[in-house]
Amino acid sequence: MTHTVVIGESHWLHRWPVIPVVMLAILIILAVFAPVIAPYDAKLGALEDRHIPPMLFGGDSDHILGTDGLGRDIFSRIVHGAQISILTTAVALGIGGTVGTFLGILSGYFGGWVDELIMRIVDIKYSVPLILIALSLATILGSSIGLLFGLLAFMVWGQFARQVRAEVLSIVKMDYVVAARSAGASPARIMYRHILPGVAGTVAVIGTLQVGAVLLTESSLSFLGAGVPPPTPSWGSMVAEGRLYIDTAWWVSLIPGVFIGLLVVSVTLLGDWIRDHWDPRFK
Amino acid sequence: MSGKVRPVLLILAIIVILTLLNACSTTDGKSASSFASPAATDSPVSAITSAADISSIAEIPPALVTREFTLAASDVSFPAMVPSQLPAAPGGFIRRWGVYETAMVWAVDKPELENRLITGWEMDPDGLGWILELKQGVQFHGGWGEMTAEDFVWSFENEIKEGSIHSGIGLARANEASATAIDKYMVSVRLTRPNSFFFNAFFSNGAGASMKIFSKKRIETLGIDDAFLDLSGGTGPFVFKKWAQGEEVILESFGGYHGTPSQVTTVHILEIKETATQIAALKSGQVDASLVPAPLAKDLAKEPHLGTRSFGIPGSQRLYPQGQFCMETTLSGESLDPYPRPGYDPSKPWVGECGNPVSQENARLVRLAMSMAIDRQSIVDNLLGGFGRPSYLPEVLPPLLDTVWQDKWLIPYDVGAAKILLAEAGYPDGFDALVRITTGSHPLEIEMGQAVAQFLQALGGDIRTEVLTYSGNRPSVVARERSDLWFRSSSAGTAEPPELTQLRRNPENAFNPGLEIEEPLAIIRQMDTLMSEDQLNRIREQLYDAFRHNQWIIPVVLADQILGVNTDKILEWKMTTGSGYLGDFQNIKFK
Amino acid sequence: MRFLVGRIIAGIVTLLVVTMLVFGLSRINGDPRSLLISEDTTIDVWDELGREMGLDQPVYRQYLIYVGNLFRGDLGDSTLQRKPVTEILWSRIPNTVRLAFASFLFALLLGIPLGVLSAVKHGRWWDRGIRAFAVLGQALPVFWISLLLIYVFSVGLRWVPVSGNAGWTSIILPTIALGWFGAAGQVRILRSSMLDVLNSEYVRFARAKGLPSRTVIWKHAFHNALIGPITFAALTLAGMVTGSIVVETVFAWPGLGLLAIQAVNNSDYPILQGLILLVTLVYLIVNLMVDILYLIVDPRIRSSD
Repeated sequence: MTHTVVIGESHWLHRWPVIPVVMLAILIILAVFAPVIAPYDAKLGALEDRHIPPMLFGGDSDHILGTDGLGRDIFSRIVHGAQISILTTAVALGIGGTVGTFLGILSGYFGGWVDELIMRIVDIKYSVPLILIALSLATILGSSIGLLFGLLAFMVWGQFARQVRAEVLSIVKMDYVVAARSAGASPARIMYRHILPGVAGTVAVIGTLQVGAVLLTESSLSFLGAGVPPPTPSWGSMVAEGRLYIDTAWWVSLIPGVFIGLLVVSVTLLGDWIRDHWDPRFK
Repeated sequence: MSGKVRPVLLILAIIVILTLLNACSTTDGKSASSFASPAATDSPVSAITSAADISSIAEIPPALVTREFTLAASDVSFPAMVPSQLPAAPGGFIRRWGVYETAMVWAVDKPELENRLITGWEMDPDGLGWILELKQGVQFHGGWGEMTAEDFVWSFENEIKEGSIHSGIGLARANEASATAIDKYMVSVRLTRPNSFFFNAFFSNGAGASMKIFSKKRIETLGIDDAFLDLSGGTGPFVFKKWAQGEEVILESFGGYHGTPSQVTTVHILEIKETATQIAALKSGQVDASLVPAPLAKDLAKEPHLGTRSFGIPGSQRLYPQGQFCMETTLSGESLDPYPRPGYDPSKPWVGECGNPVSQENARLVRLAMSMAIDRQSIVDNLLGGFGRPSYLPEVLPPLLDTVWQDKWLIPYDVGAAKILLAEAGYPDGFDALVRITTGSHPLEIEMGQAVAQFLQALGGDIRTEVLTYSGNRPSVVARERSDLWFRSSSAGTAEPPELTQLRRNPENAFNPGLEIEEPLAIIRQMDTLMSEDQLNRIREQLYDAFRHNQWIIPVVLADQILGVNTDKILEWKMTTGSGYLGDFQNIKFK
Repeated sequence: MRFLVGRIIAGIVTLLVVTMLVFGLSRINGDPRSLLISEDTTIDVWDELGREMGLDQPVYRQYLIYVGNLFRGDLGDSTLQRKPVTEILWSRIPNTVRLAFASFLFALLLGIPLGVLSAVKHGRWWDRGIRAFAVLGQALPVFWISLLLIYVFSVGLRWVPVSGNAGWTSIILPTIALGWFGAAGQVRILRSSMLDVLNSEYVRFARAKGLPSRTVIWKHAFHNALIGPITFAALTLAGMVTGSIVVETVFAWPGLGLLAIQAVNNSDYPILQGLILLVTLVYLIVNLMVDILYLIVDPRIRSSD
């Protein structure tokens, strides 16, 4: 079966990456420059300023996006939360991606019992219901950012391992790799020089596709009490915190929810585009 | 490609499997987890059979229309219908919901005790006991016969015997309490030491240790294991019709009730954990009543068919500066093991070194400073929407507070003065601390805990917070391992001051929320049944002075409970002053 | 066959690893007795309860006893309810199965037609609208969607009850909330598979031969496009565990997810252990089925295994 990239009405496809890249850039700038941009302390508020609506909905210019239940400025919490959410996602994907890719390469390259062992571990990982473990750990140890990083990294590494392994399985059959092997190059060298670049595309695509899953899981974990502990803002925990007030102080939940949506949408569209244009064999 | 057909087959296979699973597992609630009431006969029947219709015992007068009432609750625990197996929480349910009863109850209109299962009582002249006269003609649910002194004595003994997990045993054992049946309807209860808490604790409906009367015959016939799950055997205006753990409870009014019959014939209590969903259910009319978090009360009251009101006894929200473990022995001299306690940490600013007066004084100043840094009125006004008031003593009995309250116990909100105290104590730049917030008690607990942490932040250090379920936190507290600041909330209070509740549970040493301090225990030790109200109040004043001076426990606020009801349906609902929690469905009057 | 045996052994190892994990977790949390009795009980009550609960043995022996019981189908008793865990799980399974089933169907019934439609009407308004729904559907937190659904349909429109299991209408909103993500995912995956296939040589050839559009789409393109969606469907089934915990909590739906939350809040470890074991078992079975499917469908993998 041939896989042909659909070009079709090319002007749609060529336009798509512009919007997601711009959105992503804005969000990253907000995150990076948060300490400078944020007008208030994201962790401290005054109780008297509780639940002020956003500026255009009855509030004032002091708090353009309004305040939350403890009087904290939402805009400040959004930009700091961008830091946390993006950091969490990056660390989770970074750790999970690195570990997963590494194991995937080992697995695909060496085959045999190494492959068996690693794939069985991946199976075990897939069989364990992450969320229940997360809740139990949070109950015992108390929720913390470190725990969250660990859990999210644990969530994603399997996908990397499996896909990278599949990719490596076809790369090792390529002529240049066979040649290098028979020439006596060390496995480490081969993996570094030939295989790693080959899987880079796959890894990038998987990474972008997992961003949404990681962000939403973080959000669900916050809802259930196992996410980023207060008072540190994360978009997920902000949505969870405002859930009692959905029809009264609706902005507390809605605004971070919109930002989650924006981030996930832009990264997903970007990932789609990367896949469509860069790695046509990817399915 | 043959592969075309198989994928479709596989999806069909999945659908078929799921359909089969679905079909053969369809039940309508008569599953093993729900308990059923016994069939309506005179002879006792063992439970967990079909949910038989009990209308023949109920004897509903034909003129009365079936009046149903639905309530949303955030936790429907389990029945454990044997006194020795009944810890405080579910025991509270079966008492408040009118299935099991106590000897006396706090009245609805005034904070006074009224007779319920007794017709009168007398204290023995030496102050070491009471004679209780039981009401005659009280029938147990399920045909287990009439309540007599035998049942009373049996319930008492079962509650305090070896192996019981009932929360009254500490008090009973410390005073070597015993009960005897003098006559068919007369009981004598004796102590070896006078104790002013005993009577209220056991014989009123105001505390977790309150004694409910069980049918001796029922438990002896069924055996403890079956009786544990059997739903019959109470004396109250309602009978359990169904109990599906974690889902719902159904109560039906008991026609043979010895008191005023209830206007409500059926009560559905639905467990809805998520507060937002509870409120939605109230708004949509799926439930007729629910507790409402304070910030939503005003908004809810705007709906035409809903009304809100505060009720019951407000819940006490407080901060425990844990780690104050300086008691080496109990009050009576028994050594405590292990000592020093694992959680004893003199480096914590609010703990100090045991036996070192300078260090202890500094620790006191730190606790006082923390207390003065909390703007209690702001929490009441802004977080609680005015539904509550600042708390200055770990004390929630309003009538008692009214008559004995003195302004000297006020704690000013003064961050400047607090910082001076801190500097004196050796912490001019404040200190770092962890505030642990436990969940499961109050919908606003995390917000209140964070507000407190926010206020403490003004003292200069770095205050972190941690959120944990209450049950996740409890093992380490029981093991005396903790030395952080624990923000503890309660949704409702009892007629008993909560810290006195702690104390009377174990007057020898425990003051369990992470501290063990001798001074307040010693003061309370002085109280006994032979004292006049004046004498008791003088000792109370001593106690409150000590608490105010030392801030062993830092009170924060009293938060009102707010009830939201469907005002189209419900006219009136009076609740006992003795218990802060929802119950007393028999007092509901419909429109 | 060797493959199957290997998988089954791996499955058993997985289950044991998982039991060890959860067993360890409960021991880290502290003594379960502290949750049952008040702190002031005398030491002999404490010891007595410990003997009853088997806590006086060293940890490894407790674990071995636990595993031994597992093989006899005994998952222990709930610390809170004093009833066998198996009984409690059994009573909650039907509700979760019904919800999973309904959401699975919802995801397929909504996702597949929309995915096909989107691919066929590629580039036009239909496509853009459906893609927007799909991307959005995978970008919003589940509990948020759930609460929104409640506020719009139960409180606002009064069409369905808010929560619980009170009649056939109660399952509608939870189904939508839980199946939404799956539906959105199906749309995207099916759309992309379909597009690939529609532009393939094979299909162009069929079109050129003059076959009617409908035949081309359904008889040829659709079947070939199904691999991705099938895998996705099987995986979403397994992945519904997370979603169902959240959805069941918000809707007070009395299934396994809500039971999990209750068990965590009450530190009821026997139930938690039993639940995790059960879910792990389900995952293992589903993964096995997917692997078998791959084997059947793609002989190339079989030979290289």
